[in-house]
Amino acid sequence: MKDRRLKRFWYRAGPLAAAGALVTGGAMMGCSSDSPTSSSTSGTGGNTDVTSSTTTMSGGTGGASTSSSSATATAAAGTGGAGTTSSSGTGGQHDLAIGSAADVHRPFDATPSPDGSQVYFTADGANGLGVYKAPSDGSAPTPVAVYPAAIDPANPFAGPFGIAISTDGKTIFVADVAGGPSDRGAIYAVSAAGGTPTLVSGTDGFVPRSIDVVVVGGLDNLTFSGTDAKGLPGIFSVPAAGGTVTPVTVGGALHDPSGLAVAKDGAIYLIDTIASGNSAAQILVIPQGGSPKVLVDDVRVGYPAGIAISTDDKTLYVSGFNPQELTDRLLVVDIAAKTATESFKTELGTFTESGGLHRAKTSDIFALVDSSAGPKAGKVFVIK
Amino acid sequence: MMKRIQWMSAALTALGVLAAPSLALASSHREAPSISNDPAADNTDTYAWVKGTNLVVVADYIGLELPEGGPNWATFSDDVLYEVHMARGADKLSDALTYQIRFTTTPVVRHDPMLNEPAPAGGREFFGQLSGGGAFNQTYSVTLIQPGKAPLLVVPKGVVTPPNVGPMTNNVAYKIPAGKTYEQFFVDDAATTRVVAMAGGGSAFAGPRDDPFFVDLGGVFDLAQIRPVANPAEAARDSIKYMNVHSIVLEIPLVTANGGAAPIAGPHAAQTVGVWASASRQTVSVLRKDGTDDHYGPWRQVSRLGLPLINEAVIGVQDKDGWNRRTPSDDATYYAQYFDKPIIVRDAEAIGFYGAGGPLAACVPPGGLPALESGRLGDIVPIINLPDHVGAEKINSIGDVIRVDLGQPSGFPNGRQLQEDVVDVELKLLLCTLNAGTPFPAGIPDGPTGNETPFKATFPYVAAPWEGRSANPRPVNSLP
Repeated sequence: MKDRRLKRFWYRAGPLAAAGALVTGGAMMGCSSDSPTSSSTSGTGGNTDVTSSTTTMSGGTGGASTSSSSATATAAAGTGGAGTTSSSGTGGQHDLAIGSAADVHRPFDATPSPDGSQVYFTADGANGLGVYKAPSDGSAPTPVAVYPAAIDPANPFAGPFGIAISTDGKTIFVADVAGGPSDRGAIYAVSAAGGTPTLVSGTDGFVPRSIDVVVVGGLDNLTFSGTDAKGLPGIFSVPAAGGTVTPVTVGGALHDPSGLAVAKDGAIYLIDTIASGNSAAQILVIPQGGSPKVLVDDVRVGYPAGIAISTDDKTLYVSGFNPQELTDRLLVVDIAAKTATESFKTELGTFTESGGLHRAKTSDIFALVDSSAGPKAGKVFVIK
Repeated sequence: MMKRIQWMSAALTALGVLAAPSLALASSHREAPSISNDPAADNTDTYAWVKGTNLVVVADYIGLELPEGGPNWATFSDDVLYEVHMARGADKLSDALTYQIRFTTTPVVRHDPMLNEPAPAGGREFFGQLSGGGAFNQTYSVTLIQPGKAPLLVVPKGVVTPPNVGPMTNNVAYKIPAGKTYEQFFVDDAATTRVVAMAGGGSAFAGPRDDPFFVDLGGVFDLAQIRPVANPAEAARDSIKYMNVHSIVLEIPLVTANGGAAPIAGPHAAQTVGVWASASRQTVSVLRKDGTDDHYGPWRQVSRLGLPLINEAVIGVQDKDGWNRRTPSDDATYYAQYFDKPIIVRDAEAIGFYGAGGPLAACVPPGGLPALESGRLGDIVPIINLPDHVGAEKINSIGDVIRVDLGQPSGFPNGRQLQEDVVDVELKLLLCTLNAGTPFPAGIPDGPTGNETPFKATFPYVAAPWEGRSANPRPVNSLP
């Protein structure tokens, strides 16, 4: 089994290597962004006239940015100062490349371990529904907490859309939208070494979608997107050990909050999948103690919509897609400029279902999934 | 933008320019495997035509709807994003205008059976029309989206017309005064009409209507045995006679459709719009034990329709679901081969239509069938792109939209009006070409040539829905 998987990985890795994108040994590559993002305001996203897209991989080394920073906010949809996806420029500092990728069955969300050496992900995988892990060199994944049969009464998972890992790397948290005693979703904790998932007390019924781990007073807290008892979408917080769920913001500008990432200053960056005036997605920011504000309007995202913030808190990375080709892109968001630029066309442009995205705690190593339908069609990417 | 168009043109040119025919059929009712399981999101037909100083757009959903289909009559779905899209000009297929229509259904009021209320004989638990919810209490909003402008709520709250159930429901539930019909009460009478004005001009309507389409579905799908084409002894049939559909009808001022200025009379590519409609659902649904559903994630298009019969008759079954997920601006890139080599010609050949004595024998061009089987972009695309309507001002973009020159009277393929026999036109185009010299075989009607009931002379133009109580048993289902 393992041998077969390894072969599959290396086979799949071929095209990436041929495209000059495969990086081994942890080297970093400069990668220019490719085609301009369209900022059409057509409804679901659909019909846009996008220009060509030639991807140029500039083989820079050691973090030299290829940024031209000429991104312009075209402000197509006039929602109060929000930026839009840029139609020119590369949008800023990013010197990432796909480091490796592994074939998996239908992954939902992925997070690197704190040091980036492992990737943990939720998936309806080859061994069943649950949590898997894989070394971030692209080797084959192995189960952590997986239930082969959906009818298994011990299986707590139904829709494990979100994953996060504790600061010490020992505990995995899973946001499940459909499980839980209430049938309205819950967050589960499971040892990174494997074992039986346990309910994080207080979270049952909150339809949790995505989690980020924040240290408060030396203890891990979970900030998560979900739905309150009245059915209102919101952002909530709960001690990782369980306890009382505290709303951060509920209702208001939020419609369908999905992925989120918390900056060092406490600001929460999140994706709402349908909040834009034209029913497309928005990237929002909730300053600590404040209310949600639109950072970038009218973007196209995958689902579960993934977002992560760079260690310098200047750049967001969003699992998006190109509305013309309906294929995956990484959206690189310059927080200061409020612009989003499509990137990684070469590496991601043959995939169609971008999903969850997280950053390693201590470095700019990211994990991103694509859950293209069908057996063995999914991918977990490591981006360095 | 221009780069893309140029590339597409080059690709199409490379595919060849010729002339010859292909085969065809029913509009877009249940036309693809996936959407056939999702009627509320199934865009069955789209119509667009110039009427006075307005552009009228009809977007129909829920095909083959039985008027008597209670106790849960067909409704628009609150979980679907319905859209009418409009591109403008010679080059673009992106939206210059998008109308987004969303529905809200009032839940049925819960009554505790223990309390035996409302008493006596409230009947609200069983009869939907007395329950105050569901199909009988649905509202909608219309939002106009234009690039570079803030979204505009042009209809904050319209009310959907309810199912046309029968006279007792008219009397007891709808409280329609004696002597008034369903149609008079809900549409024609100004005091009670559910036609609403849109902010900025124009009108909107949403509700069940007679399905204006007409086609011999039963014959078509019995390996193209359209009556009386396949058997002259059989009369033409309209398979969707006495069936309803759910219509969204928008009357859009020409000034709005044209981007702010009144259209100039006469042919102009710049004022030619490309209209299509769609339906989208959120990516993920979760079914709860208590009977409720939750929906999460970005909108994903699951159905679309511009020109009639394209997904039905031109796109192969292997690609029909994918077609519904894409947009007209994708068509030249992904589906050009289907237009260049219409599969329906080969299918018609396979069942002997072009053989000696076959119904389409006269369509075989002098060089033989290959000229009909491939190289068709040269005659199909020009008809779609209106060379006879916009003259020297060519339309360069290629995609499945209904072109309407706002400065000219409409007539398919320049617009599509309710009464037009588009099946006839498209069958001729695909199977025999519309080129002079290869006329469709004379004297062979291709099926029904009109709707079973007259259309309305005024907005919303589509005819009243058939009444559930009297719709079945159906009258003899043949046309005079």
